[in-house]
Amino acid sequence: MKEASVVSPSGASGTAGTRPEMEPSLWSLSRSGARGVRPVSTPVPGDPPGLPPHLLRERPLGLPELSELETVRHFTHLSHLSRGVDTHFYPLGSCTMKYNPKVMDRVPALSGFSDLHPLTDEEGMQGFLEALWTLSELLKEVLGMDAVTLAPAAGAHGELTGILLARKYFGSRNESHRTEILVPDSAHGTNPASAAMGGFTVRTVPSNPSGHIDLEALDKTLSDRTALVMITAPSTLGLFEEELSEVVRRVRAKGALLYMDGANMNAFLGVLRPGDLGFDIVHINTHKTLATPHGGGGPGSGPVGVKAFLAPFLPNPRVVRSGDRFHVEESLDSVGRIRSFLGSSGVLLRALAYMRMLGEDGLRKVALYALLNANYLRKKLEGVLPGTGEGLCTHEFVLSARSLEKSGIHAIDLAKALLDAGYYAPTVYFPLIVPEALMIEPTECESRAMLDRFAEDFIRIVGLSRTDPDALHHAPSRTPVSRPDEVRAARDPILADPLRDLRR
Amino acid sequence: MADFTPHTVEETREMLEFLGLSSLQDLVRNYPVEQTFPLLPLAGSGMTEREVLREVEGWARKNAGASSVVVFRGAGSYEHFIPEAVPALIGRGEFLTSYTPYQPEASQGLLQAIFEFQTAVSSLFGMDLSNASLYDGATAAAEACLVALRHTGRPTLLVSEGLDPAVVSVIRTYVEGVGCRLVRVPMSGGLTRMSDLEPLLSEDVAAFIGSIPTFWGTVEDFSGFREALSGKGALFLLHANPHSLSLLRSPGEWGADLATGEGQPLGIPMMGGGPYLGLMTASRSFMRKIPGRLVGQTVDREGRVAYVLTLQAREQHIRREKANSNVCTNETLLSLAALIYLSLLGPEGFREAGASSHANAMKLRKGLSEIDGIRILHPDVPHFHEFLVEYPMPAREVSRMLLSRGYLGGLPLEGYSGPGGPNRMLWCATEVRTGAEIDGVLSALREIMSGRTGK
Repeated sequence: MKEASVVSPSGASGTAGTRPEMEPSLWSLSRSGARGVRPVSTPVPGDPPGLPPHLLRERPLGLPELSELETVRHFTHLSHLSRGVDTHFYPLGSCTMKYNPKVMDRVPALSGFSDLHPLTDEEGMQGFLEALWTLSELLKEVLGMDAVTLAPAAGAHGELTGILLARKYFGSRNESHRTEILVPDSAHGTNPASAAMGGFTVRTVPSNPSGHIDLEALDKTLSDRTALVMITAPSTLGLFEEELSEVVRRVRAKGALLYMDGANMNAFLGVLRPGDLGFDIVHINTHKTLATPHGGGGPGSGPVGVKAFLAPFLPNPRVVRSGDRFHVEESLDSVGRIRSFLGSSGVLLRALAYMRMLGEDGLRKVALYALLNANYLRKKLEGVLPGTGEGLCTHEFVLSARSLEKSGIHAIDLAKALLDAGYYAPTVYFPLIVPEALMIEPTECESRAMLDRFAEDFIRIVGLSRTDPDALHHAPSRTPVSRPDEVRAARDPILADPLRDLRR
Repeated sequence: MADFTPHTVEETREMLEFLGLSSLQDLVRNYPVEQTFPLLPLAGSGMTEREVLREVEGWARKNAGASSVVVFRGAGSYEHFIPEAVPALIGRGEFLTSYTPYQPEASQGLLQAIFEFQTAVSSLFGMDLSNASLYDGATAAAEACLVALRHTGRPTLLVSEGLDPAVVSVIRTYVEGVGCRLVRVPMSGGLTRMSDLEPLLSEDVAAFIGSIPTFWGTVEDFSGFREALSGKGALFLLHANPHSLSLLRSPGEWGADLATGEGQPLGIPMMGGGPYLGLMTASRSFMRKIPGRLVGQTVDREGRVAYVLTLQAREQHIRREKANSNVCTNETLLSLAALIYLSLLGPEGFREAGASSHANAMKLRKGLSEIDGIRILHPDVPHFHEFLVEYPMPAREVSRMLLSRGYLGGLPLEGYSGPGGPNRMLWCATEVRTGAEIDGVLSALREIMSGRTGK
């Protein structure tokens, strides 16, 4: 019998624990001739009538053969070997791993949504278009923007969209000499990567010692070649840029646009709006701020809000309202299409339901309690490891484990010990400007009891760096595997199960 | 009002006290005060679960979903049978509510599932390897084009007219920034011919991208394409519907360097257009050049088999502006759905589904060919499960009349270039269509056409 992922919530010493058993590969479970679910009651006999042999597949499909029950057990066992917000506290900084309300799973599953063909005639999708339009209106309101596109499939996709918007806008004004995008050194890696994908040159703006944008450095990098300045607000250090209005003023004076990476929008929701702060473009990660589940890495969604002067350039196609009818339209000024259809509706409808359920007061509580929890936990951990910034933090905070290096302990060792203690780990080694960074984001959904327990375990684990550093080096000891050999994985990568080639 | 904050009044007060604050508002004192707490009139006063469900059910009811109409429309999104075990398993909280598996020890189940997905998809495409997914088929094709542009350092992409026009639009959006030129390879008689490709080949060409099957439903013979392209130093890219690969020759068998696809037909609901599943596969020589997450098999310190995210030096969080792509969040949960779908059907079931789609489409095509006034296009060319017809009237009108009779007919092709046009329609039938449904839509069409021609 297999042990599920029942990990003792506390008291892990880092000495040998019990590891749940790993699950064999799908292909090793395969039995030649076994059948699972049958898709049709009467299979078509013989070769396909309209297809000549030279167009037909000869190579085996290589798929596994199992019964339905065997398949269900396999994936259920795999689920036992993974952790989610539903099972563990997940203080993964910058990822806003909040509770994903179960009622929201029901919404996209409704008939009329889940079974709706995206190219249905407009008269057959009025309710769907109205729902998306309603979400756009709500997003305009909380972002303080004049227009919204729901098309981007993720935050980074939203960034690319924003960058293409800036390119199109400056092109329309004969300002194509603006070829540079400025990105602070504390930014997510997606910012410079998106800028490069959009064909821009990336220039990095260093932060000052307190983690804010260095105004002098900004002045040196800003020029009439600058198209866009991308700012994460609040910053990835969990700080509100104290000189933000001055940054905005200086960027504007150079005629460049301001982009807000809204990955940290959970700190602002209902309380502060990017549009009011002076940003021209912003994306919001629904899978962070608006409680849609991350699904192990996706699907997410990254709607983008813009000021009115950029609205003509938004991606095609778009939902518009005229009277009480809703239409799907294309515009010639648009940056074009950024995906096949309108948007990740299955995610967007969840976000819509979340916003409708919270209402004005509920939206505000999100940001306020996210800040309360982060500041509470930060204060609980005061003095344990040095942090960044003075005074209050926003929705997350960053600690540095650099002082433990003398005992040979690194941020990653603390992260692994936290896994043993029954949590997911904080984000480690980001932001890059903090050595040995641990980035902790509790979200508004955790109780004080959980924060207290986590703080206690965290302090105990940091203490082990003096009393029993070996225990930390050997962590985690209660997970299905110990630390994997990543060098070996990258040296001669095995990216598919070799057993597949033995299957028909 | 719903509320997902667990704090009691007492706890909130004590926590604020601990912080030396007198109210929650004090927490945002670093924010510009005059801008805080804007009025949000549209947000309303909040709802209970029951109330919000009632509201969204109202919107859902107004749509012609497949539970209320019979769907004969494809064109990039398809109604297929989805076993109940698929949503049941991907709905497990350990998968649904987890993040990208940055901590491998606490994410082995998810990592193994992604590894198995990579195995199944690369096998289906006949390619060496697959990544862990991209946003959708169109963005996957666009990313493959970017790989080709970077790899060859050449500025021109040859795009088959057989490729879905929406996919071509996305490719154009993606490559415009890097100053690339798109050249359309025209089709003749519903197929991309070597004689149309060859004159366009030059030292400027980074890659040719073709489609299996074409957007218009035809099945191409790509014999000789690989040789012609590599002779000029260009890459061969194919964009394939994975459902069709149950029967059709795979991208790997045609010799593709990179192959992409829309994974929606593999157990993912149509959902009004998303989220879908971008598939990207490649031959091993492109292993370090493709975008997106890759999961590799390795061992842990005690020699157990273990899975990790690997070759991360390609990715944005390490390489920043020098990364292969900006992609971070992908579609992992849907890749899990596709894997579970393929495991449940197995090779036999998957082939049966493909063969039934093909047979149903051919049955429908034959029936349509017998209706006065309807002309079948490319009648002698092989098709998979979609095909074109022409009416003596606007296809939009036909579609409207079919919808009022309970059918979502083929896609009207007004505004489509190439084999498109206002009087043309792209039909589709998958394995879920029954003989009675096909007979039903044929008789509806007979009625519509006879009304039109006055017979």
